[in-house]
Amino acid sequence: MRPLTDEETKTMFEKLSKYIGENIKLLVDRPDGSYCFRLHNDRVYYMSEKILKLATNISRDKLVSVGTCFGKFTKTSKFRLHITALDYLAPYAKFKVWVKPGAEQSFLYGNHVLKSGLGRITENTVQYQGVVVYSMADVPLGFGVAAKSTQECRRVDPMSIVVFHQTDVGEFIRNEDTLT
Amino acid sequence: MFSNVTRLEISMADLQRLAEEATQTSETSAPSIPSGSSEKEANLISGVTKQPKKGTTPEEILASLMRGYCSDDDKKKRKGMLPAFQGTKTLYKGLETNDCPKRQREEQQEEERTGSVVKKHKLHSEAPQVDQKAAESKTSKSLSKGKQKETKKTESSEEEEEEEEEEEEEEVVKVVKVVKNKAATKVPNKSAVNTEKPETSPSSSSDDDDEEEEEQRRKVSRTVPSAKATAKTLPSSSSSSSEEEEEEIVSAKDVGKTATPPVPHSDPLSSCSSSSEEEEEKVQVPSRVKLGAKEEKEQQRKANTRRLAAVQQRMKEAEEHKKLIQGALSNVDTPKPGAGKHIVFGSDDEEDDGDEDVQRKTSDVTMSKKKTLLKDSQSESEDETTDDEASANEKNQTKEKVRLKQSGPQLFGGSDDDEEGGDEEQDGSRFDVRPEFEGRSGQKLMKLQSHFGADERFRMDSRFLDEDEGKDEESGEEMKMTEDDEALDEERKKNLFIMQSVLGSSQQTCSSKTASKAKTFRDVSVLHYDPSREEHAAFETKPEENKESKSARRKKREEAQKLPEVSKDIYYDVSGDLKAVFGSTKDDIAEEEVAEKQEGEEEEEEEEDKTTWDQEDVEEKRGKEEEEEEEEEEEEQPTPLTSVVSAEADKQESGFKFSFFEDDAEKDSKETAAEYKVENIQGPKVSWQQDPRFQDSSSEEEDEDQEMVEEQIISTPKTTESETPAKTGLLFFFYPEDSRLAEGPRLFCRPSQLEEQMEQWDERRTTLRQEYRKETQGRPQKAEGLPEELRMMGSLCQFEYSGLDV
Repeated sequence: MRPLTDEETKTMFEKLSKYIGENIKLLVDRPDGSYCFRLHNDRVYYMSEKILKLATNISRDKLVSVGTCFGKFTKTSKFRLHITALDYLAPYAKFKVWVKPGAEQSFLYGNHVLKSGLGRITENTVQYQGVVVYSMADVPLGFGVAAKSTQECRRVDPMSIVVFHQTDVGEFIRNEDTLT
Repeated sequence: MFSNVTRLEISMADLQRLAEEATQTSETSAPSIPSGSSEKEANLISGVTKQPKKGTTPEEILASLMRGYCSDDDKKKRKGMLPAFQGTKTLYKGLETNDCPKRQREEQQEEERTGSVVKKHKLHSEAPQVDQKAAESKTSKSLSKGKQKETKKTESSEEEEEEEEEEEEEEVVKVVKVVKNKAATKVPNKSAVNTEKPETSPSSSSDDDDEEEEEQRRKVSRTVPSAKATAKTLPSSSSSSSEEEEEEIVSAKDVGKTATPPVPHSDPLSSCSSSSEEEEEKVQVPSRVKLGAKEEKEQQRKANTRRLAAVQQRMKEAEEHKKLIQGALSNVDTPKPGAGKHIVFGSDDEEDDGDEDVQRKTSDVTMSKKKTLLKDSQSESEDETTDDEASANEKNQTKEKVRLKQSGPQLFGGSDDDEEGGDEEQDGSRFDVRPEFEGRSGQKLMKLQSHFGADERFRMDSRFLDEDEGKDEESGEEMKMTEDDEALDEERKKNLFIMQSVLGSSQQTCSSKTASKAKTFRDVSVLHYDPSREEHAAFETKPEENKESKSARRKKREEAQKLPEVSKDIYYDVSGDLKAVFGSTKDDIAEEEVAEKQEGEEEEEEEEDKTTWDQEDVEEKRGKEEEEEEEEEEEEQPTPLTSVVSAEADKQESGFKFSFFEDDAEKDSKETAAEYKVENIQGPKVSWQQDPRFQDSSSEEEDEDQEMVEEQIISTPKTTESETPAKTGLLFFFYPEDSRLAEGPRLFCRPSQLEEQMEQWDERRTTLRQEYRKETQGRPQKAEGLPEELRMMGSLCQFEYSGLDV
C-alpha cells in the first residue's frame, strides 16, 4: 500500500470529476475527519486516517482490501471506476439519469440504457458526460456515460442508446469475485 | 376502642377547675404558707399573680370559648389566670398514684385553698373532677399537676396506656366516687407528705424549673382530667407518686382556693409526652369543674376533649411531616461526599439496632436520618475506596432506605415495600457524578467498562484507573499524532492542488483540523451602519462630489443651450483675375469675361441649357450662359451654378454683380442666404412638366400633327410667358415674386379669349375632318376602326375641352 503518485492522482481526479465535478474537494477535504487515497494492487482505496494506521500493520500480501475501493488502474494506467465507489459519488453527482422501472432491470444486467427506458435526465447534460444512473425511486443504480446530450435525447428515436453502461449494482452479484 | 390513641380529653370540669384555681390564686394575696416552702410559695404566688396580668393567654382564649358551657360560677373562677402546665408527668403520676393520695390532696386543697405556684400543678393535673366542689376540684387538680410533673420526667407509654384504658373503662358517673375517694385519700397522703417535706424542697426547686417549663408548655391542650384518669393513674408506679404527692401537697397548700385542674387524661399526657417540644404551640384548655352531677355535661366535655385531642394530634402529625420534609430538603443541595457511594459489609446489625431505638421515640425523623447518615459516613471512612460504583451504591442505599423507613413517619407516606423505596433512591443516585470517569484516564476507564457492558460485576471504579500513565506518554502520543497528521495534511494539500489543476478552477482549501468555515453568508439586513467604525466610512456618500457635478452639469447645460456657433469665416474665392474682382460695373466686366470665357467648357453650357428648360429664348440663355461662363474663373473647374451663385454672393461685397437672369439676379442675390441647391432638370424627361397629351405616338402623321400641335401649344404658352424664372431662384415656399406664380396660371388659364379659341377650333376641326376623311376613305376599314376614330375623336374632344375657362 502506497500513496498515489501525482500522475495517478491526476488521472483519478479527472475521472472522478467527470461524475462529480468540483465536489472532489468534499472527498479530499472532509470536516469530520482526514481521509486519503491509497494504492494497493493497482486498486485505489479511500479510507480514513484511523483505518490507514491500522492497515499499516498488515503485510501487503495478506491485505485484501482497505476502506472503500474506488476503482483500479488498468495496465495502461487508465483509471476505471468501480461500483463500490457509488456510495461516495452518488450524493455528489452533478448529472443524473433516471431510468424507468422496465429498463431498470436491463441496466442492472449490464445493458445500456435506451431512449425508451429513459425516465429523466438532468438538463444541460453534455454528450459523453459521466452520469450517475438512478431508479425512479432515487435509488442509485450505477454509473454511466451519456451517449447523447439532453437536447439530442429529445429528438432521437426510442431505440437508440442514451447512456452507456459503465458499472451497476448488479455487479455485486455478477462479479463478486473480482470486486474485492 | 381507642386504646392506642393518645387523646386529650378535657372536660368542662377540668376547665372550670383551672379557672377557679386561677381566680383563687389571684384573689389570695397572702396564702397560707406551708412550712418550709413559704418563700417558694411566695415566689410561686408571685409567679401566679403575674399570670393573671396577662390577658391573652391561651388559657383565657379557651376559657372564653368554653364559657358557653359553664355556669356563672365557673366564669368567676376563670377570670384569673390559669396555672402553668407542669407537664403530663405530674398529671399521670398523680393519677397513677392511688386515688387516695389525690383525694387527700383534694381535701388539703379544700382546707388550705391557698394560691401558689401550684397553678401549674393544677393546670397539669387534669384529672376530671366532676360534680365536686371547687375545693375538691382544686385539690384534685393540684394532685394531677404534681402527677403531671412527674409523668413528664419519666414518661412511659405504658403508664399512659394504662391510664387511657382506665379512663375509657370508667365513666363519668364514677368520677364522683373517685373524687370522693380521692378526697378520702388525701388525708393519708398528708402524713406521708409531711414526712417528706425535705424532699419537697428539691421538688419545689424542680417545680420552679418546671414552672418555667410549664409556662412554655402551656399551649398544650390540657385535657380535662377525668375521674377515670385519676383512677387509672392510681395504680401506676407509686415510687414516683410520693414525690408527686409531695408536690401536690405543697401545691395543694398553696393553691387552696385555686381551681384544681382536672386530672390529666392519659391521652393528653401521652400526647404531651410525645410532643413535649410542641406543647408550646398548643393552647391549654383550662379544665373546669362543674358543681353538681351533670352527666350530660360531662359527656359533652369528654367529647369535646376527644375532639380537641384529635385536632391536636393532627396538628402534631402535620408538624412532624413538615419537619421531615425540612430535614429531607436540607440534604438536597448539599450532596454529601459519601452519600450514595457507600459499601456496607456486615454492618447491618449495628445500624439496625440503632435504628430500632430511634423508632417512634424521637419525635424528629430527621434526627434519625442524621443518625443513619452519620453512621454511613463513619462506615465510609472505614472503607478504603472512595469511589464506588452504582451497584454498590444501590446496595447501600437499600439498606439506608430500610433504616430510614423504620424511623418515624415516612416523607411520602410510602408503601412498606422496600423494593419500591429502593428503586426510588436508586434512580436518584443513578445519575450522580462518578468522578472516577473524569479526565482522560477516566474516559479510558469508561471505554473499558463499556466493553464489559452493563454487568454489575464489572464495575470500573477508581482502582482500575491508570494513574501512572503520566502525561509524558500522552504527550509522546500526541507528538506521533502530529507527525502523521502533518503527513496527511501535506498529502491532502497535494491532492487539492492536483484537483485544481484538473478542474482548472481555484478552490479554497480548508484544513480538516480546524473547523471548516462555512461560506460566510453576509446578511445585508443584519449589517448596520456604525459611524464609529472606520470600515463603514465606505458606505458614506461624500457631498462634495455632487456639488462639483452640479456645477459641471450646469456648464454642460449652458453649453448645450447655446446655439452652435457658426464660424464667421467666410469662404472667399479669390480669383486670379484681379480685374474681375475689382471691376466697377458688371456689364463691362461681363463682356470681358464673356470674351475670356468663351473658350469655356461646353459642359457649363449644357448644364445651363438644361437648367433653363423653360427658357424660351435660347439666345437669351446663351447670353446669360456666357455671362456665367465669363464669371467663372478659368482656373477653377466647372462648378455648378450654386458655386457660381455663391461666388456671386461672395462678390457682392466687392460691388460686382452679375445675374444669370437680369431681373432675377438681384432676387437671387438676396436669396443667397438660402441654402438651396439648384439642380439642372431636363425638361422633356420630367413627366409633370410635360404635357401628356403630346406624348402619344400612335401614328406618325398624327404624331407629326401632334408634334406640331404640341409645338404650337408649347409655343403659345411660352410666348405668353414674359420671362421664365430662373431655376436657380426656385424655392419650395412661394414668395411674392415667385416665377411659378406666373407660370402656374398659364397652365390652366386661357391664354386668349374664349371666343377666339372657339373660332380657331372650328377652323381646325373642319380641316381635321377633311383630312381624316381623305385618309379613311382610301383605307379599308379595320375591325377596330371605330375605336381609332373614337380615339381620335376622344383626343379631339379632349383637346376641345382642354381649354377651360378660368
